Amino acid sequence: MSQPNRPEVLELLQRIEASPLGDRLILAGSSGVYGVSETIPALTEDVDVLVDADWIAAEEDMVLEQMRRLGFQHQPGTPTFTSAAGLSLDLVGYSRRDAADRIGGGKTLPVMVFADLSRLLSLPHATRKLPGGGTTLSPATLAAAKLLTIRLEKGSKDKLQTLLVIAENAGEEAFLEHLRDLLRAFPPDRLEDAIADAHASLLAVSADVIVAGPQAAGYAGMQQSLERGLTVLQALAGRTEEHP
Amino acid sequence: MSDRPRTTAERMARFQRDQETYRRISLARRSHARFHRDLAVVPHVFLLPGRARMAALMQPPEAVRTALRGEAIWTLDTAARLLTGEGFIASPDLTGYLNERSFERAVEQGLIGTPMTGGLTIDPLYHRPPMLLAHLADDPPPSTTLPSGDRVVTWQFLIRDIFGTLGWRPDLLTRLEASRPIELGVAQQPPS
Repeated sequence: MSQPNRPEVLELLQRIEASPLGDRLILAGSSGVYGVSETIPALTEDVDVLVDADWIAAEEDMVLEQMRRLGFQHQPGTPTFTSAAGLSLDLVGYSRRDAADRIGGGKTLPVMVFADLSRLLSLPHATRKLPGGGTTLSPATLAAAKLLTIRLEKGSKDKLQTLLVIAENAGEEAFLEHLRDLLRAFPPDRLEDAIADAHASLLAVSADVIVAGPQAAGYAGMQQSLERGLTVLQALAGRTEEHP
Repeated sequence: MSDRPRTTAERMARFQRDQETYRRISLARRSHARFHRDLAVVPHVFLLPGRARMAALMQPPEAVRTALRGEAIWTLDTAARLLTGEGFIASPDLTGYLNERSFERAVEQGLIGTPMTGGLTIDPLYHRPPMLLAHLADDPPPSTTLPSGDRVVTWQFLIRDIFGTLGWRPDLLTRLEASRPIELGVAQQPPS
């Protein structure tokens, strides 16, 4: 697979929107960073798009045909499509009728449906239009989604991208208000674990910085942004310094 | 390793495995009474590249500490020893904040050797001679001056430094807080 770059991903979103798939596919996951920032590294080898799993169940044949016309071949039994150019696109499901982790979609095109994403997509201002065409998660929704993502193998990356998105948008009152509202939609223990994960991720970067050595100057700015993002997140979650 | 993308069923199985592991991690975190309180800490990276320096002590640690008294702001193990009488690192290093001039002067005066380029850690897995680990700071961290004249970071900053250097160590932090000196006016009273 080839690593997608920002122009390539945004161009794909435009083509999707111009197709009968319209705005049904929402840029998300690490590739969602391309939709909200020009500076934060997406660090991904594929493109994730959110899709209503119940719509997939109803329109499976049409989706498969339209993806084929866009130049993507479906990988049987998976939610993955690949292009001849080496681009890999994954469908990630949400649902408007329930908020449960399950397998949904169709028989040929099964997709994972995530409870957290279903909840986030049901809330206002979850998505926004990209200037050139296509739909992406809004910055606050992307930050909340990545913050709450549970996966062991790339969990650190999710939390780091969350902190960087928060730091980049920390001066925007509307963003902070939106993210605060989103975080309130989840039980406190989920946020507690997410902040503890963010702590661990920040320390993992610190360790990486130490190994990389002083020549890795790019880390210094990132470290500052991560600390700023963590501080803002702690404030939004009502976790400010309590040590006397 | 296969290049075949995972099927949706395989992804679900992996997600459920991760959720179960995550649930155990969450329970383990909550087994520590201080978990909620420590969520508010912003870790501070003492060993920040470009800022951190390490050089072997050329004189006994006590002599180097005395020579840098009033200039260095001690933290981590050195601060813990000064504040509580007990450290938490096996390696007999000195760890503190200095400005660049003080660090250079320590080299010129033969208190420490030539700064090293690698091996930067406060907790080595091998035996090494005692070191001065310095974080060169233009803007020094908040500090307290002890009756001896030694300066140490504030208790709050010490927690941030430990967190940012060793990770979340609830047992260590709890032990340290239990030995926090009351006479500094910063101790928590033991439960009666």
